[in-house]
Amino acid sequence: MHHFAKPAEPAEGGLRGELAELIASFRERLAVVEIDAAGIRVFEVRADEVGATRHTRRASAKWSTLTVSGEEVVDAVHRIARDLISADEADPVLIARIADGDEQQAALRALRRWRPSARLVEAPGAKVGELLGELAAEAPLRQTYDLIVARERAQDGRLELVGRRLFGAGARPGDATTVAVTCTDAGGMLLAVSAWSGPLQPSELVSAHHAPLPPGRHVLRAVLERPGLVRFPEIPGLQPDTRTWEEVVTTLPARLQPAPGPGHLVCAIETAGTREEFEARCHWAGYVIDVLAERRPDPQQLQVSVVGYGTHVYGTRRADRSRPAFAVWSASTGQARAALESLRPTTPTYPHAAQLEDMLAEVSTRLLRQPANTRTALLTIGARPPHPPRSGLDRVPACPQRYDWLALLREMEQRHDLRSAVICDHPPAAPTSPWHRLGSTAVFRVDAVNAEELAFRLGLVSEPAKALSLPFVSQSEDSGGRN
Amino acid sequence: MAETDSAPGDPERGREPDIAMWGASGSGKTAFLAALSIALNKSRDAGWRLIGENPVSRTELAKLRNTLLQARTFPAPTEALTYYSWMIIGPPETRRRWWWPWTALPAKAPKIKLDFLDLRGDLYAESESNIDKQALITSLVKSRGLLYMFDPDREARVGDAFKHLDAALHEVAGRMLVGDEYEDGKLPHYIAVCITKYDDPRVLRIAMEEGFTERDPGDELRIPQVPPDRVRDFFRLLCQESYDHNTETILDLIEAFFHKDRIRYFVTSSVGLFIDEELGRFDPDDFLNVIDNAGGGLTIRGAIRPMNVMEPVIWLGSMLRPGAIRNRPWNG
Repeated sequence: MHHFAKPAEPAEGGLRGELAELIASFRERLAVVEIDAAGIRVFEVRADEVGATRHTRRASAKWSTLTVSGEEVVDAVHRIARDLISADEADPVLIARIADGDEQQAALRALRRWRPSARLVEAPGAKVGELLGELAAEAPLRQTYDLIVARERAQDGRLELVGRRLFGAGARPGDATTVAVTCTDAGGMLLAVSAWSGPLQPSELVSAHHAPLPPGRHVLRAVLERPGLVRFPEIPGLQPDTRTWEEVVTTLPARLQPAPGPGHLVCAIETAGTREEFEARCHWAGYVIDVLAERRPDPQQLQVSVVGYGTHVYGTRRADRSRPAFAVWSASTGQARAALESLRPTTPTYPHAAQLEDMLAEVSTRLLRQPANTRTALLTIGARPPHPPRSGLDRVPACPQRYDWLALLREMEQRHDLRSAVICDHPPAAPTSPWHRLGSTAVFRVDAVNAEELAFRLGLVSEPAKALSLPFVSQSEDSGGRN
Repeated sequence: MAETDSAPGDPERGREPDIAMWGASGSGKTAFLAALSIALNKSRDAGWRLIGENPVSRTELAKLRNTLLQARTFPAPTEALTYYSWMIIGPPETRRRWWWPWTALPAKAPKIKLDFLDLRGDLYAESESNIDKQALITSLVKSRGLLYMFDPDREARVGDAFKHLDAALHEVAGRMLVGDEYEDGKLPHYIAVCITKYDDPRVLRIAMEEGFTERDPGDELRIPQVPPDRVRDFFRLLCQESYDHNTETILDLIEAFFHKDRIRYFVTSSVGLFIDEELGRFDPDDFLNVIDNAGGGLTIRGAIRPMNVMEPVIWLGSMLRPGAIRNRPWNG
């Protein structure tokens, strides 16, 4: 047996350099053959769909095993090479000879016979399998990696998916970059990284993680850990998203809901009833306000008013001139929440109607001072319908002020594009019930309210079910994406 | 008349009843009685009073008045047969002998005896053997004036007036007309047919929209009234609006059993229409005087202004005591 004169480390250093060069440059596959004192091992190195280098040990045999059937070493190794090593000259072959001797010489002859261009590197003491793993992690990126974002198509505003460059081909592990995107969903967004094998050929998803970020603009820092692994180290709480890409795509809206403009929610709450009834109404008013506070945190963009109203008093000598109690007008969500707490339940003085029409009259007057471009929504929560302007066959007495609730509602709808929804203690029985008209946008029962849906129908937030879960970039921001 | 503490209610006791009351359950009989005293007090033709003939009747009268005026609600429906011995006493009239007109005789107050049987409204449909029913029929037979209460609101919803009227009329006719006393084959009673609950929106709207109402130029409250000569037609129209087809024949049934000239129709309301005191007149958009209250009952909303409650009683009295009651504004 021959012994190498070179020390082990430089020999492995030579192998490392040769292998690193080949791993960075091979196209389809790279074959690495390790010949040591005990036998022969054949490794195959390939790049997966996202450009990460993977190596597998295709064969491993001791010299004694190869000759046990009487076959010569040279013939056995040639058979292995023929079966496992590409004959294509474009696929490089590297032979690492760890030890030397008759078997090793025979094997080398057999390999050279199959692939005369195979490089030979003397590498005494090297462990090829371990070295391949290290070098694969250190290899430069073979493909470009993009963050998948959505943008609006210039011609029609429909959403399309494009890539924002994170790392180009050749980027090395440890490289970092930043990308500016906008999160449009209160639930956060999906950070999906895709690999591109060519300028027009997307290949595969590298990773998909849910980032629990609040709505708004974010500058994301991405680090290439190694080919096939991109990290966003500054985002806490990242969780792998296990959905298929098809599932992700089906949840995406065709268009981005336009960001709601200035909004004003008027919460009108009937105070007449038991404490339980009153508290259930206030609960939902508070819940809707909370949803708005979460979805629309900018206090300049959303105002909330809270008004309580009770029942008219009949049977007194003078007509009831009591007015609804405005707990707060055009305030922030926080102020509205506090004002809600100031309302108190009142004893019903009439069973079949409440001074809802007085509330409408007061709201109508106050809305006259409001800017014209404000999305105005009225949410009425109660049990009793309004008094009619004229008493009718249902024996409900007319409003003492003769307010006409329907005329007031129509006027506000026309003047302010008002949207009106109701939450009723009980479902309105008759199809002619005023609740249906007052709830032209939505009618919910107090025990079955979808606050998110309600806020959406009132036009105060964008569509909840079709929120954009991917990062969004505007046309002006989108410089260099591709699709 | 001697006062007694016995239960008000023996129809055989004392003088025969002048007037008997009649109507389906919930037709407003009890409220009518309660309103009668108030109506007499409110009458501009001062001097008419309703008094109880015995302590129990007086107590009941006070209770009925209080229910309406103080509690501002309606008396509970009659649960059992109850007799009230009441009397309407008018202002004394000076009398002179025709043959010696220079000296006036001591003034004498006209009196109408009201032995009202206030009873459960559906008693008329009870079986023959029912003691209360027998008492009722006896009262109807012995009285000579009848107050028949017709509730258009109830008729539109339930429609049982014909059943009650038909059963009672045939009972009374069977008792009175089999002999030779009434050869013309008609019952001898005067009957005041009272359309109750004129304040009900359904009734008032029909009256106004069908053109039955007029305004009295002298009425500063401008309350729409159905003129006496149109009440009969109004009654016929209301019968046609009934839930029960048979109700359409009620007017014919009444006119078949009674002399036409002894029938008079009245449009009545125990509490009247609501008048907003600030407005000071009838408002067609806001006239409900009876509204539901938060306790599940009814509340009288405004001032109680009985309409045509005393008029049918006084009319019956004038027909039964023509010598005693004459030439009054309400007479005729």
